[in-house]
Amino acid sequence: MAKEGQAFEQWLRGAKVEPEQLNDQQRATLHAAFNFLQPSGGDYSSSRIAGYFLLHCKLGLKMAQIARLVGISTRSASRHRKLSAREVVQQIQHRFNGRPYGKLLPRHAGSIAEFLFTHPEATRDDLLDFVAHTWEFRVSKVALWEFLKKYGLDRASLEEARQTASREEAERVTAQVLDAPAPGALVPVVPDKFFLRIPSMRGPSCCGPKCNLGLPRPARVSATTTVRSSGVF
Amino acid sequence: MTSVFALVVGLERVFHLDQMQDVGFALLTGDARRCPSRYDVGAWRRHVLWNEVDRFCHRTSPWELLQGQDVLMSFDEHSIPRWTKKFVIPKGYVTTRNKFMRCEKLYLGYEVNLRRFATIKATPGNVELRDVAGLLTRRVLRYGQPAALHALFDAGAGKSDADVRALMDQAAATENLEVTLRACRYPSRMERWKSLPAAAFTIYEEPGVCKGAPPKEIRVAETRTVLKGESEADAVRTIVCRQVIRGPKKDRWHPLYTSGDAEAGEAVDTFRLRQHHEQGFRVQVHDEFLNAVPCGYDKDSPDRHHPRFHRGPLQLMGWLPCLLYNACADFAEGLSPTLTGKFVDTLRRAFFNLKGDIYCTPKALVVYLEEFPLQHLLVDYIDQFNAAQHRVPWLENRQLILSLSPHAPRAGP
Repeated sequence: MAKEGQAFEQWLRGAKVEPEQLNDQQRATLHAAFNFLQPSGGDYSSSRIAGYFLLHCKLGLKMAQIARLVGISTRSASRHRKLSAREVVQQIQHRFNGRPYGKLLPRHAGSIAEFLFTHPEATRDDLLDFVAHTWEFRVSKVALWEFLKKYGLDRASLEEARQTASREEAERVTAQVLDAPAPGALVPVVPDKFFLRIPSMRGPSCCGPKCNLGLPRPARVSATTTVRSSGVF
Repeated sequence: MTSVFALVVGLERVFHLDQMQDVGFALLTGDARRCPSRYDVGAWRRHVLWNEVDRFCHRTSPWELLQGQDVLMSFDEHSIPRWTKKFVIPKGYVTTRNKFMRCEKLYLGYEVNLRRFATIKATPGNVELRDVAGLLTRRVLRYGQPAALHALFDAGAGKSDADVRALMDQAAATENLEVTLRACRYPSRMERWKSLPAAAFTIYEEPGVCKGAPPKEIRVAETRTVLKGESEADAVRTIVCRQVIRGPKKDRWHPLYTSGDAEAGEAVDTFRLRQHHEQGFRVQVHDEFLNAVPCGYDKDSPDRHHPRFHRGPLQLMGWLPCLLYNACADFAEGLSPTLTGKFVDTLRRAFFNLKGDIYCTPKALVVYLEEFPLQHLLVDYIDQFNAAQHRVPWLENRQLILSLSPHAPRAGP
């Protein structure tokens, strides 16, 4: 209990709110807000809800103090004050859908990359429709172009990547041809890919090649076997 | 990198690298085309130098968490059994096998309140806790700079009265040090403690093993024990804890020597927190494969009857699981309070070993994770990670982007 009281006082002092200057009502309300925020560790939705409540419950605190208590800037607090409860809930939902300020975020890059690689002939309008359909918001062509360019997903970068990949593949094939023995050698060199890798232990991992060497199926596979990833170069 | 990320993804032994054909793991470990060979990795591990490893362990120890804090640190050993017939290496007692056998040991300091490993020392099997207790305590005091240190030791730290006296003297000479260690249950001492009058014991009741089970009865008494060759004036404060067992079984006795002046019941409760350290060892063994650390004895020694001891490989590969343990605890606490204390393997299943695709563009490496149940907890973390603009130096400095799949549309209205 003493520790909790200390933490509460620390929280107030951190926000430059003097505990001695608070009346009973303010203290009780702030204590309730502190208890509300404490278990969630100050995540976004809890902070927004607590901030909205403190801004609108006419507690008599300054906006800057409330902003510091919930860990946002005064400017943000001022903007939040003008919102209705419905708008706050919508903003929280948008945040979880990846749209805090109505723009594409880095974490959207994966879906867009997947779309571009599976639809190489897609136009920019198709991509805009995909964005609108997937995240239920529209972005401007300029914003989309900047996003694609930033992460190397624009047409020129993708073309460059494809050319590099094909060039490397060609170089590898050339190297294999050069490594091959001169005609007339007794034993032709077989490429490494020809052979299946021989497992060095009884329990073959599914990370390895799909081969059945007549061994019994392992009862338990390595934890690494759950990883599956495919590279696109 | 391979040694670190092998632990993260849960690669049980180094020879599993032979079968690893995962692009993500290859990228993580520095080569975009293939996973590293176990021969290269094994050779590197066997040839790390002890002084470099000591430096690495010191630099990566979480000393900043201890600075200016009241630290409750448990020191204990983990024995790694060895079955070599070729090399004659020192023997030690392995508690899990209850036998005296060839082994090597890792001594670890664990902060039981924060639940983080703080320091390590690798030794041959014939080194005991009493040999390194003073050293580890001094190290924590010197580098951690805690406001106060309460060191907890198992009975191995006080096998002889001289060892107990050494620890008590160290506590007396250091202003901010308190020491509590479990006393060895030698028959003559036990007789004396068992003969304490019943009135000297305070009875505590604790909840039973499960809901509805009868409560456990603990009786705690305080006395003083005169060590061998000492006078009554130098007697050590001893807390005798008797756990009453129902039925025909004998009661369990847990005597503690302490230099502190806390109330007896409180001292017992504090000492019991040491169980988190033992739990940490279990997590390391089962989730981080601590027993798979390379041998400390030198296989190239000219005399197989007296092989040299190489501390470097053993200590480095013993410390990496500790770092992973600490990092996983930080990660879980940062994500959600409900994940605090989750085991490494649980986090691995939930957040690390995930299906996904990797897209490599000229400017970025986009890791696109397939939808998984707890992905909503990662949203803020991934946003912060992407905002930090981490780059992959061995992949032409491309920016690493983590990406989540959008929520699937809900079925029904």
